Amino acid sequence: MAKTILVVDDSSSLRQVVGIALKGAGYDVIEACDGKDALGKLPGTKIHLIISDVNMPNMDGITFVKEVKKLPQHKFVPIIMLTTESQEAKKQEGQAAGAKAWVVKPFQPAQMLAAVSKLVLP
Amino acid sequence: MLHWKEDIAERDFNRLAFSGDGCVTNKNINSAKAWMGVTWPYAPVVGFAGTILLLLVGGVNAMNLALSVLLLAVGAAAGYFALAAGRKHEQAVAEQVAAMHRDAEAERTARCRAQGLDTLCRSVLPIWARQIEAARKQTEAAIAALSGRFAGISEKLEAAEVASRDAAGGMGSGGMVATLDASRSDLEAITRSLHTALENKQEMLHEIAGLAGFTDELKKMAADVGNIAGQTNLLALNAAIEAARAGDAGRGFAVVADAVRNLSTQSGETGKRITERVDAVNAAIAATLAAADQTAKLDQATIGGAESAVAGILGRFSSSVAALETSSEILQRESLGIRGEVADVLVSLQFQDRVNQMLMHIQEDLEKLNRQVSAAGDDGVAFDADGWLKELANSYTMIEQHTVHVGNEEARPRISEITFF
Repeated sequence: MAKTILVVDDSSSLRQVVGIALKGAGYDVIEACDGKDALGKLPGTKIHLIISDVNMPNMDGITFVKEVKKLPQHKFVPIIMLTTESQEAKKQEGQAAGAKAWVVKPFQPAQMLAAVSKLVLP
Repeated sequence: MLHWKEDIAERDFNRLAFSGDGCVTNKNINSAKAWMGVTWPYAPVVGFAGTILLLLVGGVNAMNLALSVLLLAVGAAAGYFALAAGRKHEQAVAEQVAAMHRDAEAERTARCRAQGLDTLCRSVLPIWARQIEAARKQTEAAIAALSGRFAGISEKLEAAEVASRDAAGGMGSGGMVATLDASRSDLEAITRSLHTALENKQEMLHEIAGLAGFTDELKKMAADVGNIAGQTNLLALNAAIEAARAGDAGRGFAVVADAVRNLSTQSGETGKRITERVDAVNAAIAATLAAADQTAKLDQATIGGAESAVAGILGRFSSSVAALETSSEILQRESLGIRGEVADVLVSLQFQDRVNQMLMHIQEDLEKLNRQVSAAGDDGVAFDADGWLKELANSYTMIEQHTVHVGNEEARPRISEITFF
């Protein structure tokens, strides 16, 4: 059975780009346009990995990660931050929130998939 | 004294000229000139009044007359100098007034320009912001559509690749190679069966041909039977002769001899019939063998033809499958290349997100400028340019924003910079 990955980004084109890479590798993809939208899609869904942007309207990525870590069903789901931000301070903020990896856009699909396969839940 | 008067006059002029709302106006400038103009004519009048007073008080005598003349002279001189100084001062004031006119004009022009800039900013900044927003949205929509197209291409490519691979037999049990192998195996089994049937038939014909040897033996046995019958008949005849010579005593033996002669005759005829039947059987076997031989030749030719046809079909089929396999390999190789290209395109498409963020920062900064200009109204606003630029720089999230901000060549971001925590 294919594993499910939640992709959170306010850019629809970026969501599609990530979706192409993940679907091509056999993953199922659920899309959300910001942290709030993503939180609404989590209940009752088995998620094996989350890929989230940082700068988003309504709820930013760091806040979203903190909220996910409060959910008993999803607190162990690994989260990859996918963002244009490369400042060390921001990365540390993501790490402190509970993210497992920090990927700076643009990414090579193969390398992103390698990171995904390394972190995705069994 | 003149300096002192000029200082006083200038101070008074400034007091008058810059009174009220603090603006230099023509009315204030004229008032200043009028006040300055009344000071210089009083010196001769004072001299004259002093002379009259001296003569009235002191009386008319030589000394008072001399003093009066002196007073009049001093008054006239003072009047003259005052007039000269007044003219000079008036000229200086006129120049100062002209300079102030120029300054006022320049200030008015600057204020008009500032007011024009404010108005322009309030009008044009929202337009710029809206234009950037529209461009940003259009770009994002176009890139989203493009991404969608690439997603479709990628999925179709994958489907075509899988279908081709399955059709060529690289994967799955129903592929062309598997079908070809199964067909070859089935057809070879059929030709083997035909060969076996033909061999069985040849064996049977060989057995039939062996019967011909038995019929010769039977024919010889039939001839032996005929010989025995002839000898028996001869013996029976001798026995009949001996029975007749024996008279009545040999009469019974004569009957036996007659019966034996009959039997030998029948045996001889049976031997002949056997020979005839054996000949007939021989002829039938020979005809059967000839017909079977003909059929065997036809069967051999048919099997040979079938084998050749099967080999031809399988050969053509193999060629087609080989071509299909080659085609599939090319498709897979090309597909791999296209996948690489698509991966590069996916990387390029992500730059839209970076561009989007840069435009959003510019848009937000324009909106901030517009808010501040609008809030300041007609009084104008004093901007802290350094503070503004620092705040703008602090809002950047990407390395190229910082490099562009300081005027350096744009730095390309590193691709796939991944940090694991």
